Amino acid sequence: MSDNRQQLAGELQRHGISRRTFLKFCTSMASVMALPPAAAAEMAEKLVKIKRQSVIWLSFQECTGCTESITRADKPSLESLIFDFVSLDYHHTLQAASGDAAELAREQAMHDNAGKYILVVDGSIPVKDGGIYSTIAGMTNLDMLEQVAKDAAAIVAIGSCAAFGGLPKASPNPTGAVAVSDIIHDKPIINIPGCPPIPVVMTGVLAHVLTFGIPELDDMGRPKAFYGDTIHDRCYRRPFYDRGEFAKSFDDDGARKGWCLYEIGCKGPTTHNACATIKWNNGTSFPIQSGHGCLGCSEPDFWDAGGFYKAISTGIGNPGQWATGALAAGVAAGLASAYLNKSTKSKAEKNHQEVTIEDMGGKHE
Amino acid sequence: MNSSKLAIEIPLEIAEPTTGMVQAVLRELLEHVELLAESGQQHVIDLTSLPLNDSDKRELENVLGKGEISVTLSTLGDSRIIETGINGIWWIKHFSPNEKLLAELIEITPFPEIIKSHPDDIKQAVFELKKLIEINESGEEV
Amino acid sequence: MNEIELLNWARGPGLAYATIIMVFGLTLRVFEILSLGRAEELAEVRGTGVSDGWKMILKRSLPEPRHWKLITASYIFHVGLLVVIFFFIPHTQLFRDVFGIFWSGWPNYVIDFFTVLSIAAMMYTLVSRFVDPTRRILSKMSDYFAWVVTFLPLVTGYMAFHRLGIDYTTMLAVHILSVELLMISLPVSKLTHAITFTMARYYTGSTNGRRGIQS
Repeated sequence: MSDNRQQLAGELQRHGISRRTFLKFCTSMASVMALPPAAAAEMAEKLVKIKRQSVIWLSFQECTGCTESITRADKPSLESLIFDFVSLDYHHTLQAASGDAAELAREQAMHDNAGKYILVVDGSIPVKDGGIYSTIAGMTNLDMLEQVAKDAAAIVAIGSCAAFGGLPKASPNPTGAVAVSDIIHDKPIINIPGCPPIPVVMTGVLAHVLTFGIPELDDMGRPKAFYGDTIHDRCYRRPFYDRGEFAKSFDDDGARKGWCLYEIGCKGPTTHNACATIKWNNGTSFPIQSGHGCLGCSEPDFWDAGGFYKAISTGIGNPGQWATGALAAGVAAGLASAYLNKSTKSKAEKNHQEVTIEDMGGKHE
Repeated sequence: MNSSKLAIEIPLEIAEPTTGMVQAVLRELLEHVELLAESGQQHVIDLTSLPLNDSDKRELENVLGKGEISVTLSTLGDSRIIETGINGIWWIKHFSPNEKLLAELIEITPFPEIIKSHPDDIKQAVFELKKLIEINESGEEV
Repeated sequence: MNEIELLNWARGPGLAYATIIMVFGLTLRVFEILSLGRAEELAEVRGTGVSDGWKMILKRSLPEPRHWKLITASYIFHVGLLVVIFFFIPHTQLFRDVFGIFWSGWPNYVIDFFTVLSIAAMMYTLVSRFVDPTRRILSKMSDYFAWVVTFLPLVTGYMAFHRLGIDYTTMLAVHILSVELLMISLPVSKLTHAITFTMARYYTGSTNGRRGIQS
C-alpha cells in the first residue's frame, strides 16, 4: 500500500466511503458553489492527498443551532461527510473529552498545527465588563478567541452571531456582544451568516477552504457563491411581486394562492442567502414556500430591523408617535411665534403717530 | 369555499415556460461532440450553471432521448447515469439519500469518469482479492 | 457601516429626524404665516373677497394657453408624484403603519408608467429653465435645489425597484435617505408650497377681491 493511500483514503475506507462517494460529494459541492465542473475532480484529488486538516471549533454566546444544522440529518448526508475530511480537535458539544482534558486537546492542536489550523467560531463575543458574561474553563470568550486566532490560518465565523453579533447583540445588547470581525483584524475571516446557516453552505465553504483556499467573498466577508443573490432574486413567488399581487394576511385568499408575502413582512428583497435555491431539511422547503415571509436572519441586526410582520418599506420604531409629538411642538412654537408677532405689531401700533396734513405744512380746508 | 372540506392549495412551484435556451445548449453540445470525435477531447457541463429552468431541462432531456446504457450508482443516495440517444453524450444526475437532486451534469465522453475503477483502487483490489483467496483456502482446510 | 446598517438607520433614526423636522417645521411655518395677519385696507372695501379667494385657488390651478408645454409638464409631474407617493404598494404599507389607515395601492406597471412620465416631465422643466432666457435669469440656487431634492427620490425609487446600478439594499437606503432630504427641505425651501399653495392663492384672490381687482 502506497503512503498517500494510508492517509485519507484509508481513513475513508474505514468510514465506508468509496472513491465514487467522494467524487459525488465533490461534484455536488462544485455544483452548489458554481465552480467549473472540472474543479470537482481536482477537489477530489486534493482532498484525498491532504493531511486531515486540524479544526478548532469555539462556541461562544450561541444556542448550538449552527452545530445542530450541520450535524443533524436523519440519514447520513453528503454534508456530514465533511467531518471525515477534517480533524475536529476541539468542539464542546461533539468531543468526548471534558474539563482539563478538553482544554488540553485544544492547546495540543494549537501547538502541533500552529499557523495551519482552521478556527471555526459560532456565537458572538461579549466584551462588556471585561467579557465576564461568557467564560469557558475560567477563560473569557474574548481571551480565548484572541489566543486561538493568533496562530490560525483562517477563521470561519459560522452563524449570524459570530458573523454579525446576531441575537445576543440585539438592542439593548446587555453583554456588549460583538462579531468575530470586530475583534480580529489580522486574519482572513469568512462569514457564513444565517440563524442557522444552511448545512451545505457550511460544508461547501469548508471543502473550498481545504482544497482551493478562501473562496471569493463580498464586502461583508460572505462567500459570493452562496450570498451573491438575495432570497427575493431567486424566489419562486417573485412573479407575484412583479405583478403587485400580495397576500394581506396569513389566511386570506392571496395567501392561499401563494402570492408574494412582502406586505406581511417578508425581508427577502434585502436578505442575501441561498435558501430559495438550496432550501432546507435536505431540500424539502424554505420559509416562503411554507407560507411565511423571510425574517432576514442572515443579515446584520435582523432582530432590530423593525417587526418581522411589517413590510420593509415601513419605518423602524414609531413614526406616528414622532409625527404627533412634532405636531404638538410645532403648534406650541407656532402659537408662541404668533404671540410674538402680535406683540411686535401692537407695540408698533402703540408707537405709531398719525401724520396730519398740518405736519406736512399744508392747510386744512 | 362552501364545501365541508376546506381545500387549501398553496402552489409550491410555478411551472415556468421554456426560455428557448435549449437550442443554444444543443449547439454547444454539437461543438463538444465534434471535438470528441476529432481529437478525443472530453467535456463536462454543469446544468445548474446554465440559465435553464426546469422546463428547459426536461425539454432538452426529451430532445436528446435515451440510449442503450443506464447505470445506477448506489452511494449515499443513487446517481443515475444515462447515455442519451446521442452517443458520447451522457446525462448524470446525483441524488441524495432522500432523492433530492444534488447535481445534474452532461458529460461529453466515451465513458463517464465516475463509473471507471480508479487505478489506485485496482491496486488495492489485487491486495484484497489475495486476502479473499487466502481466507477461502484456509476456510476449506478447516 | 454596511449597507443593511445604512438601511436600518434610514428606516429608524433617519426617518424619525426627518419626520420631526418636517412636521414641526411645517406647523410652525403655517402658524407664522397666519399670525402675520393682513394689512389694514385703507381704501373702501369693495366686497368680502371670499368668493374671489376661492376663485383664485381654482384659477391658478387651470392651465394657461401661453405656456402650455411647461404647464402640461408641471401638471404631469405633480400628478405623477401624488400617484407614486400615495399609491405604490410599499408606500401604502408605510402610511398604514404611520396613520393606521389603509387604501389599496395600484399595480406596479401603473406606478412605473407614472414614474417614467414624471421623470421625463421634470427633465423637461429643468431644460426649459436653462433654455428660456427669462426663466434662466429668474432662477436662483433655491429653485435648482428644490428641483434636485424632488427629482432624487423619483430616480432612486425607480432604480431600486428595477434593481439598477448598485445592490438593492443600498439603493433602497439611498432612496429612503433622499426622501428624508425632501422631507427636511419641505419647511425650509420653496417646497413649502406643497401645503401653503391654497392659503397663498386664497390670500391673493381675496385681497384682490376686496380691492375690486378683477382676477
